[in-house]
Amino acid sequence: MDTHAMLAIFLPLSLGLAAFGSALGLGKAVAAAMEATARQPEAATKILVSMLTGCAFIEALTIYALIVVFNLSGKIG
Amino acid sequence: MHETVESGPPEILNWIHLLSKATAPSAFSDFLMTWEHVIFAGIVISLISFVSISISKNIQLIPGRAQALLELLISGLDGIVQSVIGPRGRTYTPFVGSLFIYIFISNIFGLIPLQNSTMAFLTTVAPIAICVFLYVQWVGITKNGIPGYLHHLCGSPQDIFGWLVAPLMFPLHVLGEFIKPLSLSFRLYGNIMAGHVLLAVFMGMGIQMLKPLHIPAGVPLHFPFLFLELLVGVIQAFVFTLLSTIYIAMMLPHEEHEHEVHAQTTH
Repeated sequence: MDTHAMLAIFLPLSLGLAAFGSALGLGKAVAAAMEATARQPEAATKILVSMLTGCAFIEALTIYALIVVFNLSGKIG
Repeated sequence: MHETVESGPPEILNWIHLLSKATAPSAFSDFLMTWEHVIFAGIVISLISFVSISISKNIQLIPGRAQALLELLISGLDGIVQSVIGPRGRTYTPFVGSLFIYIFISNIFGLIPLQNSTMAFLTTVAPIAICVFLYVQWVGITKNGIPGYLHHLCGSPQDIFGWLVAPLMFPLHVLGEFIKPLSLSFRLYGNIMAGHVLLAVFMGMGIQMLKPLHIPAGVPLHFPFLFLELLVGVIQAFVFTLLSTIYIAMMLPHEEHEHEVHAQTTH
């Protein structure tokens, strides 16, 4: 298998793996935020803000993988 | 208006590309392509400067619409900074607030047709993160003093055990300081760049769909994603600002902070 084929197979796969982990994390974060909002609706704005910042952190991990994929995708040819 | 280029990840066409293509084999065209990011940064900076200078020229006690808007924005930023650092955090509001305004306006500016966001390029995002890094170190050195700064980098050891692991903590903290700007810039750049690529991909799909008709138009498939990009632009600007504030707060001496909190609760 040459480099092009390997890149073509594993670049999307790596992005999928990163997205899988992020999805689990996001699901947990949003579920906890929902629960918290249901328990204490008056704190909804505060919870939303901290949830969004947390989500941005979690998403950033996938974005790192995405940057790598974009940088290497030119080499697939 | 919306086209994708063939090589590399798809890009949204902007006016600098158009101008550069129109004046193709010339030094001016090369100049445009080389300094594309900086030109967009310059546009955004001059826009912000022009608006804020023209509004703050005649400040009135009873604010007009524009002044009220800016005051609302700045008091909101001040509130965020003070909620993270504490009452003494007001000193850092100008720096952190400028970061937020610049990043936010850039992100929104990038969604205007034929414009691009400077935040979609690492070459213009990295300097902002480096500014944050240098500012945080400067705050750490001036507020703690050089011994206090080194003490902080050793993990603020209090007892004998803390001093024992200090040689281990020191490289970790130094490394952490250098990783902070890296993750800051990659997060912002990656999010905005990925958003633009997403938009470009869907624009390309929309153009492909109407290609058999031979009309210069496309289905605006990317339209729903514009709202996502608006959201991402605001959130990323906010996250960048919040993280910079947290880095500054972490660098500040701790005892004073606890003392202040204590004083607040007793009052």
